This record gives sequence, structure tokens and C-alpha cells, in this order.
Amino acid sequence: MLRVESISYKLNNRPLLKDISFSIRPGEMVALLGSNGAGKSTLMRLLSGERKPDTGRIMLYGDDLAAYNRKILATRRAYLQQHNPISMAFTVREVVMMGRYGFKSGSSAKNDQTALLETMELCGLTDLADRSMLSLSGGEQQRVHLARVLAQLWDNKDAVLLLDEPTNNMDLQFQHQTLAIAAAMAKKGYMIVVVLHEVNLAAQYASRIIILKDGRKWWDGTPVQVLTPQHIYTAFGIHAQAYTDQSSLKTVIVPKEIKLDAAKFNSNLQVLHQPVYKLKTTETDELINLQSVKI
Amino acid sequence: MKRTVIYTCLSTGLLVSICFSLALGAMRIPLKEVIDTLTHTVGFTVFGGTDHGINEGVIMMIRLPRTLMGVLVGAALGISGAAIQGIFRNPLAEPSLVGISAGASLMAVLIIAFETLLFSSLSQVMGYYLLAFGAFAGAGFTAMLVYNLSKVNGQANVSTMLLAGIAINAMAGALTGLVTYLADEQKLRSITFWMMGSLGGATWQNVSCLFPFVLIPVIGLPFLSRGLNLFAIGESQVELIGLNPNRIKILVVVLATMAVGASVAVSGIIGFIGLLIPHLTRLLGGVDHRFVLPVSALMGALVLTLADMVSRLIVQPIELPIGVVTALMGTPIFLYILIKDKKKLVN
Repeated sequence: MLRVESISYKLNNRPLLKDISFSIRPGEMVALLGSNGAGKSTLMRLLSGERKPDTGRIMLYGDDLAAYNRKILATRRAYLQQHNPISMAFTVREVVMMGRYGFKSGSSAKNDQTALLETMELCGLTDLADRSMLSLSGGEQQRVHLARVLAQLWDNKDAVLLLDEPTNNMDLQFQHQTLAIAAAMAKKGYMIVVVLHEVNLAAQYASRIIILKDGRKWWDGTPVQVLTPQHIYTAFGIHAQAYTDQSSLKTVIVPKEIKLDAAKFNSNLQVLHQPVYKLKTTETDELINLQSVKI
Repeated sequence: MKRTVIYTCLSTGLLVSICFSLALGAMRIPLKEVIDTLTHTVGFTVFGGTDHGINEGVIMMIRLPRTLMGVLVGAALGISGAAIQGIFRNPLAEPSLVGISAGASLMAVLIIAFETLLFSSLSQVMGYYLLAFGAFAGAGFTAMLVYNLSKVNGQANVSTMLLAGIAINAMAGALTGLVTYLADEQKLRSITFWMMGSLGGATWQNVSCLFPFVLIPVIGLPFLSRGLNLFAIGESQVELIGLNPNRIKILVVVLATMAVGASVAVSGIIGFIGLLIPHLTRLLGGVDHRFVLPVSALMGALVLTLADMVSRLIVQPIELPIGVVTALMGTPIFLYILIKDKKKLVN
């Protein structure tokens, strides 16, 4: 059980989160949506315990997150960050195993091996196990880090898994695979909070959606309740249509195409159409003509 | 399996090169006599004959302390180089490059120059330990300074780190130069020795002083290798996985600078070992610090013993400063890393 009690957070006197409250029950998979800078990643950082809220508190299984022992918290919360730069040529296997470093005592080596092999299999990494991280593509690296946070919580379903844009750089198959893994773990009793940009992924896999705007919680409910054209326009500033897929009864969002005319926003291109330049055949004119050919 | 082979090869190599280091020099001593003298000192005989007269004296009084100093300094520089690179998350962070050695040598030079003025009573009590502690303090201070200077938004930034290193090296160089103007003839000679790096000053006295300063980090640092591995995926990850990042950072800096500081105090600045050795180790068997740290210590000991042999033999009977030899070996490898990883290093 995760309970967020009216938390606020400021950075350099700029309020990033304002009076946010909600609670998550075991088995729920919550998707966090919102435009860039809405406060999604900041909220994740607070939920992970990495940062402390200025006011309010976050309770995890009845205890204040701020008062948790570091080792115990590591068995109850795993957090996949948005950016995971790596500086040395660790192998895939070594990085996934890092998720188990907190278990020096208590967890047997057999559990570690099981977690390692199963999470690698699940994230499609078995064939990459001995490759260096530096030789992998962005999406493959992201899968390694996903396997690492899964391995961290492999023994304990009384835990919260925080995924900040887990599908970054992933191909279509693994975007769905990642969310399917999260949804399946939620079914077993894990609590999942996942930040997403793709609303349709949220609609398909999440059991609940929270939309943030300007650091506040605007909507909180099932995908059908939350994902309406009006809400999407308010949160993201884009017109969209919402349908219900007849076979799965899930909401499908189709954003309307935005149409732009390049000549209207690029004034450098407009210059070309002015006849003044056409009359002269100077060097600059030729240069401009050359450029226009390239374009 | 592969790692067992590496451990075995390096240990054997180290033992063999120690024996050769004792045998070779201005005066050649047969290997048989070297082994004989060593085993006799420990308390049993292998080849029977025990009385080798002057040869035994050369080995026990001159070559053995020098060789042991090479082993200790090499191990210290190798392991601390690997640990510091782990904390900085960068294969270019090397004690002499980022100014840690310069900080240590500046403190050492200051202590030599002002010993009689300020520390006379203290140095009588503490002897060589004063120099070692002073160098340790200088190294620790510069390490923390460079680390904090190089952090941008909580991440150690490579270019800032190297620039901070340049600044500190220049500052320490200028201050050391200033001190040399104030120092008298005899002190000048010991100061010059610091700048070049040499194992020539080895005696049983300073080897025994160096010993604990190297032993503690060589035993202690490998216990922090899981934490160092986590630093490679980000300082914030250490905390998330349940380890204490600040404790790891402080322990690594204290242990690594302890080894660097004491090495600088007895042998001056020997550059590039801290860069070269961890890099070679990673090429051999991967980047996991549980492997890199102990093997860097072993390989550092081996390479410095060999480098010392080269410095003694190449232009006999004169000996080259060992810093020259290690720089000649290290610079091409440094350039090789630069060319190979050019893109990776600039974040």
C-alpha cells in the first residue's frame, strides 16, 4: 500500500509539485501522464525516496518513506530512471546482477541466479548476456536496466515498481512486452507506477491513469473515465478523438493531425520568394539559389 | 576459470621478476645465490651453501628493500588508480593526472623545507610517518577538491575534472617551485627527487613505514567493489539498490589517497601507473571491480618491479629516474585510450 499525503515540492523556489494526494493498492498499475514539465519525473523521484517532499509525506506499507532503512527500502521499491548513462564496459549479465547487490545477506545465491536468468529471458537479453553495455543500442540498454530493476524485486511482491518512461528507445514489440511484464506483475500483487508519453499504451495496459498538469493532479481514474478528448486537449493541447475498441473494450485515442506551412514559421525561406533578389545575379544570390535547390 | 589463470600468471610473474630484480644490477648475483639468501633468511636452506659474503649484504641491505618498495608502490598506485577511476566513473581519472599526486608531493616538499622551522619536535617523534601522513593529507584534500569541482548537476564531469587537475598541478608546481627557492642545497636535492620519482631512496626504515599504508587499502578497497560497480551506473543508483553512496565515496577516497600519499612520500611522483594498470586489467578480464581492484594491485607491483629493473639496467651504471621509464611506457597507452575512446570520453 502506497499512500501519498498532500505532498508539495519546490526546487530553487519554483514549485514543481503542489498538494498531490492519492493512494495505490497492491495489484494496481497506475500510468502517470502529462505534458513535458508537468512534474511526472519529479513525482517519481519523490516516490522513490531519492528526494524528500517539502510538505506532506509518502507512506509505504504504513511507514514513512523518509524514515525507511536503506536496505529494507531497496527490497520494497525499485526505480527505473529515465536516463541511465553507463561509463564502463560492464557486461549485460553484470549490470542485471547489480540489481541484487542489496541482498548480500539474507537472499541465497540460488535466488540471485534465478532472478538473473529469468529477468534476462523475459527482457530478451539471454543472447546478449556477455555483450558489453557500450556495444548495445539505446533500446537494448534500456531493456538491461529494466531487467535490473525487475531482478531487484524478484523475491518480494509486497513492493512498488517505479518505471519512468521505460519504453524510451524501445522498438514496438518491446514497448508492449515491457508494459505486459508490468501488468502481469501487478496481477501478482506488485504496485506499479509508470510514466508514459504514449496514451494508447497507458489505455491498453494500465488499470488506472493519473494526469498531471503544472505540478497538480488533474484527473485520476480508470482509462475510460480519464482519457476523454476534452481531458487530452486540456492536458496536452492537442485535439483527439476517443473510440472504444469493440473487441477489447479499451479506449483508443487518435490525435488529430497538426498541419503547418513551413513558409509561415521560417522567415529565412520567405526571403527567397521576394523578387528583389531575382533581379540581381550576385554571388549571394547564387548561394541562396543553391540552398533552395538543396531544400 | 579465466580469472584464476590471470591470478596465477601474475603472481608467478611477480615472484620471478622479484628474483631477477634481486639478481640483476651493477653487480650481477647468480639467481641460485639470490634464492639461497632469501630462503636462508626465512629459516631453511635449499641449495646448501649459505655464506655468500658481500652478495648477501647487497641483496639484504640494498636490493631487497628497493624491490619491496617497488612492489608496494606499484600495488598502491595500481589499486588506487582503479578505485579512483571507479569513483570518478572515468578511465582517465588518474592520481597524477587529476592532481592528487601533486597535492601529496606539495605537502611532502613543504614538510621537508620547513621541517627544521616548524615540525622539528614533531618529526623527531614521527620520523618518516610525518612525511607519509602529510602526503596523505595533501592527496586526500586535492582528491575531495577535484571531485567536488568536477561535479556538474550531481554527475562527475570529465572535462571539468581534467581542467581542475591541470589547475591543481599548475598550482602545486608553482608552490613547489617557490619552496625550492627558499630551500638550501641539501633540501633542494631531496625536493628534486620528489619531482622525478625514484625508488633509489629505499631503506628498510621507509619500506616498513610504507607497508601499513599499502596493506590497509589493498585489503580494504576490494570490499567496496560492489559499490564501485554501482557508481558506474550512477551515484543515485547506489542508494536505490540499498548501499550508502557517501560512505563508499569517503572510504574509497580515504583508502586510495592513503596509498597514493604514502607512495609519493617515499618515492615521489611516479606517473601513469595508476592509469596504465587498471586499463590493462580491464582489457584482460572485464570491468567488474571485484576483479579489477585486486588484479590491478598485483599487476601494478609486477610492472613497477620491471620498470625499476629497466631504469637500473638500461644505461648502467647510471640509473634513470623511474618516473621517466613509466612515462615512456604510459604515454603511448594513454594516447591509445584517447584515440580509441575519443567519442565516449566527451560525455
